[in-house]
Amino acid sequence: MDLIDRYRLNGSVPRAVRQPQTAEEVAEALREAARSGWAVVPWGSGAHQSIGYAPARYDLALDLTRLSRVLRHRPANLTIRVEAGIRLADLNAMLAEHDQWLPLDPPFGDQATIGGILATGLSGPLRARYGSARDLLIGLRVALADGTLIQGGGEVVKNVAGYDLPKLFHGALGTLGVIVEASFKLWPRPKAEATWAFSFSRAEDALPLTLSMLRHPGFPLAVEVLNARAWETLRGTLELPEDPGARIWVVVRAGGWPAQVERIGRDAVAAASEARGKDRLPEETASALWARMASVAILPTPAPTEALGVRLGLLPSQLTACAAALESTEEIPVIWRAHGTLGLIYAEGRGPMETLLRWAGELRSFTLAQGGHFTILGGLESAKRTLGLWAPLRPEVEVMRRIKAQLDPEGRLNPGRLGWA
Amino acid sequence: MKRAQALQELLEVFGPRGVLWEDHHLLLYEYDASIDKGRPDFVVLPTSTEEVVAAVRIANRYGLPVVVRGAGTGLSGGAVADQGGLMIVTTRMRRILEIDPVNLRAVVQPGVVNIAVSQAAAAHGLYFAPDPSSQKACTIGGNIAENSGGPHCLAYGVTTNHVLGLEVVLPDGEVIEVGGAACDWPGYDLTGLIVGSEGTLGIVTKAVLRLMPMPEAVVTLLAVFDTVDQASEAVSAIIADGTIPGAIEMMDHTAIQAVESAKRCGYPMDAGAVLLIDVEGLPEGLEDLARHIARICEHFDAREVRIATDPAERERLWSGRKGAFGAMGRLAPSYLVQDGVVPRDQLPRVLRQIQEIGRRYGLTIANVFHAGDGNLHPLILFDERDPELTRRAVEAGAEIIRACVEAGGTLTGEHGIGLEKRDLMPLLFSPVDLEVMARIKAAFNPENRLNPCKMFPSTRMCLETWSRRKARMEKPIRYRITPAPTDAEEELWI
Repeated sequence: MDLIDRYRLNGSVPRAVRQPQTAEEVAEALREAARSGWAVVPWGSGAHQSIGYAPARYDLALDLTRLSRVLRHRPANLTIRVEAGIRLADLNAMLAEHDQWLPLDPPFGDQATIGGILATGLSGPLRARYGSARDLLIGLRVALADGTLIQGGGEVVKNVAGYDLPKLFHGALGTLGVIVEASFKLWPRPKAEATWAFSFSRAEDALPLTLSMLRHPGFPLAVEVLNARAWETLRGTLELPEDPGARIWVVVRAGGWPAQVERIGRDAVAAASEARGKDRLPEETASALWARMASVAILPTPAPTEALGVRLGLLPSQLTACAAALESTEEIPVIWRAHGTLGLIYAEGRGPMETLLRWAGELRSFTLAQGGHFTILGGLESAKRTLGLWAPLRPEVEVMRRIKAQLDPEGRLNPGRLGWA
Repeated sequence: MKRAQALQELLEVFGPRGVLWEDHHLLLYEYDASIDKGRPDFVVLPTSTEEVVAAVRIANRYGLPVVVRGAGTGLSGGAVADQGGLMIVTTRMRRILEIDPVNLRAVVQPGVVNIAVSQAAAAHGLYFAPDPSSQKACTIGGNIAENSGGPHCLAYGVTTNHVLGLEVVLPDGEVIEVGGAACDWPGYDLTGLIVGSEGTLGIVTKAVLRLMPMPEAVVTLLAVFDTVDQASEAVSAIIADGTIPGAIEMMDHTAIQAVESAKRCGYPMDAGAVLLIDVEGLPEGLEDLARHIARICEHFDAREVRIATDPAERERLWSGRKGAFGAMGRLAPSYLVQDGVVPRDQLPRVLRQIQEIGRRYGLTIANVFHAGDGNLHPLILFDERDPELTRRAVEAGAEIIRACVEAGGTLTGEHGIGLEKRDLMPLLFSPVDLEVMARIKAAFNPENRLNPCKMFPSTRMCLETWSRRKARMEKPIRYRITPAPTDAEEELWI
C-alpha cells in the first residue's frame, strides 16, 4: 500500500505527508504549509479520524507518531511530560514499573496516542474515578497554524497562571493547534481490584445500583451499563456470565486497598437487589473485559457504510428513559453502553441508512427534550450532514468561532471538522 | 456631566439601595485581601442576571471598565478597580437555585458563599469539595474567577474540576450558556477556559457545580519534625509511595510560634515543622493507611506522630492551620503571601532557598502551605507603614517566585495573577504565549472592558487608555441626589 493511502480520509488522500521527529520539525512543517496555504490534518494512530465532519480541505497529513518520547517523568511528583505521538499503552507499560499509571482508557486505547486522546476528548470507563484527560492534563505545548510553538500550564499539579489553555485544546479536534507535548498528573495504581457483573430484566431495576455507586465514598473505578446485545458481543470472545433473560448488564470495577474493594463490592451487591445474576468475575476475565469495554458501541474508523454511532450526554438518573428511547425501534439492532455514573451514553445502530437516520433523529429529539446533548460519533459523511454533527447549537458557538478565527485565522487546521471551524 | 448621567441611569435600574457612589461608601470597595487598592466610580449590587446585563450595558454606554467583586477575599488584586469604573458586586446574587441529590449537582448564583453550598448539600450527605481557607466568606463566583484551591484539593482537584457549566454575561451584554449539568458538551471547552480567567472573559451569573459524597471517616495525623527538611522529605516520600491523602499541610517553626501564641492547638512550640495530614474515605482499612503514613513520617525522623480520629481533636489540630494567616498579626503588622508551586520532589530545596532569601532581605518568612500539592504559601512579614520594608518584602516575594519557576514550578497555584503578579508573567510565558492569551481575550472581550490591565503584564497602552478615560470623567459627586434609605449602612457591611 502506498504510504499516502494510510492517510485516506472520507475517500480523499492528502497531497503530502510529513512525519516530523521533533516539535521544531512540526513547527517547520506548519510554516511550510502556511506558505503554500495548505490545509493540515494532524494525525496520531488514526483510530478516531472519523470523528467530526471530514475536513473540507486536506492537503497535508501531519503524522505525529514519531514524536513518541517521554520527556520527563518525576515519579516522586506523580507527573509526566511526554510527546504527543506516544501511545497510551506504551506509556502505561513504562509507568507500571513505578506502580503508577495515567488512568485513561479511551476507545481503541491499545492504538490511541496521547495527542489523539486529547484532541478528541474521548474518555472511557475509568473516568468514573479519575475524571477524563481534561482533569489529568496539567500542561501542553502546541504548534499553532503559523508554526508558532506555545505552551500553557506546566508540570505542577496546581497552576492558575494565565488562561487554562490545556482545557481549550482538549477536545478541540485539532482545529486550534497541533498538540506536540503534554504533561499529566499521574495516579498510583490501586493496590487491589475486583469486578462484579450484574444482570437485570429492566433498566429501571439497574438504576438503584448505578446511582448508589455515583454517591459511594469509596469511588468505584468504573460503572458501565450495557444492553444485552452489547454484552453478547463481548461474550462472543470472553468467558462471561450468561443470562438469556437479561436486558441490561451493569459492571462495577472497584479499586483501592483490599478492604475498600471488598466494601464497595458488598455495597454494590446490596444495591443490586433486583438483579437476576450477581457474579464476581475471575481476575483474568475482568482484565480482558476491561481491555475491550471502552470500544463497545464505538464504530471503528473508517465507519462501515450501514452503521451510525452516536453519543448522548444526559444525567445519570435519566438512564432508564434513555434505555427505552435507544431501543424504541425493532428495525435496528442497537448496541449501547453507558458510563453509569456520568450519564454519557454510546450507541451504534446498523441497518439501512434511512432507518438509521430516523432512529438517530428521534434520539436527538429525545436527548434535547431532556436537556442533554447529542453527537454523531461515527458514520457516513452524508448522515452527519443530514442530521448535523451535534446539537444543541447554542449562542456560545459564536464565541467558539471567534476563538478559532483568532488562533487559526486562515482556517487551515482541520478545516470544517466542527462544521463552523 | 457624564458621571451624573451614568449615575442617574444606574439608579433607574438598581434603585438607591442598589447603587453606591459616595466616597465613604466606595472606600469599602477599594481593596481586596491583597495589598493593592483602587476606587471604583460606582458600585452596583445586582440580584439577577438581567440586572448584570443592564449594568454592563450602562457601563458600555459611558465607556466605563467593569470589575466584578464577590466577597473581596481575593489575594492578588483581581477585584480591585485600579482603573476606576463600574464595580459589579455579586453578594446579593446569593440564591442556591437547585440541589440535585440524585445526580450530585448544585446550581447556584455567583454570590453564594462557598461553605453555604456544602451546608445546603449536607442533608444529603454531599458537599462541594474545593475548600479555600476563606470558605466561610468567599463566593463561588470568586472561586470560579480564580480557580481556587484549598487543602483538600490534593485528592479531589481544584474548582475547575468541579464546575460543569456556567451562565455568562459577555462584555457586550449578551448572555451565553456554556457546558451544563451533563458532562462533555460538544465544541470547545469554554467552561474550562472561563474558570480561572479572573473576570477578564465574562461575568458568571450562574454555575452548575458537581457535588461529592462526604467521606465516611476521616483520620487526622499530626507529624512533628525537628527540621523543615525532614518534613518536606516526608511529603515527597508519601507522594512517591503512591498514597494520596485528602490533604497534606505544612507549617514551619515561625508559623507554629504565631499559631500557638494566638490559639493553643497543641503544636509543640519547639518543633521545626509539623505536617497535618488527613486520610479519608471508607472506614475500612483507613487506620492501617494512617499508620502506614505515620511510619513514612517516622522514617524521616518525625519525633512524634499523633493520630486523631475523634472529631473534636481533629478540629483542634486543624484550627491552627485554618487560623494561621490571621495569627501572623502576633508577629508583624503586615504580611505578603506568595503562592508559587513547585514539583513536590523540589520542596526541600526550594524551602531552603526561601529561608535564604529571607535572611538576605532581613525579613522573617513563615511557611504555612499545601505541601501535598507543592503549593507554597510563604508569608513575608513586614510593616506596611514602612516604605523601605514594604519594598524589600515585595522584592523578596518576587525572588521567591523566581525560585519556584526555576525549580520547574509556577507563579501561582490558587490565588491568581491579578494586579499583584501581572508583571511576573514573562518569567513563565514567552511573548508568543502571552499573545495567544491576548487573542483569546479578544475573542470574548475585544474592547478590554472587563477587568482591564489585570493578569497580563501592564502595558503602557492599557494603562494610558484607561487613564485618559478617567480624566474625561468628572470629579466624584459628593452630594446625594436621592435621599438614602436609613438602613443602607447596615446593608453595606454584608
